[in-house]
Amino acid sequence: MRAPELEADFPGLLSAAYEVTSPQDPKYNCIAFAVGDLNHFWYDANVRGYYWPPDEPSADTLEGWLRVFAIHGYAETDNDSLEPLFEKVAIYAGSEGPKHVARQKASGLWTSKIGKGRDIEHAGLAALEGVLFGRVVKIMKRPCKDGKRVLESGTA
Amino acid sequence: MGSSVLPFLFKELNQRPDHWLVALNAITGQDPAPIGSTFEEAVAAWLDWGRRHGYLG
Repeated sequence: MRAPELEADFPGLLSAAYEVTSPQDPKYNCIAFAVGDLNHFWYDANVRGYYWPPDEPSADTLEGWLRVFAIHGYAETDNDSLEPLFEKVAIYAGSEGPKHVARQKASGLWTSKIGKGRDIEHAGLAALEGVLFGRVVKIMKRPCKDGKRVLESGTA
Repeated sequence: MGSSVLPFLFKELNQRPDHWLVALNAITGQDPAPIGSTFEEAVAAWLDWGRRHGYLG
């Protein structure tokens, strides 16, 4: 089922295959979803209920986001192609800094938590590029742990 | 935005849990959730705080 309100915010979805895969849920954000945490909103708000790795650069900086994924074993790579033994994330940024991160599934589709809203699966990273999220600026990858990917029950 | 909006914020938080926690912290100076709380746990702690302080029926 298509979501016109999402297509209005992300015109790239108009020409992309996508599927809404969860109801709205404010408990976690895109970074949390990318690392597999569905219980915390990852941001350095300095208020309990929010989480940001201690002593790391601000959540408002690309450096901060790169550090989050480095802590989780990711390293920068130069392509978004599906590599069966590797998990990949793609960080979007605009002129004001990082805006979004998507995670690649074993199928090759990407999955994203849209702010405080819903999760979606989308074919291709360009589907979410635009005014709100900017463009993809970094791709990072890490070996699948025990052949598994974050929040996926199958093996790579 | 001062303490006069607290009843509204707590009502909203109770009906539609959302990211009012930063505003509540800024207005009250409090942070009633335990260290390490999840977002849900923090919302519950704030609602309890709001009830105890008369901002939520």
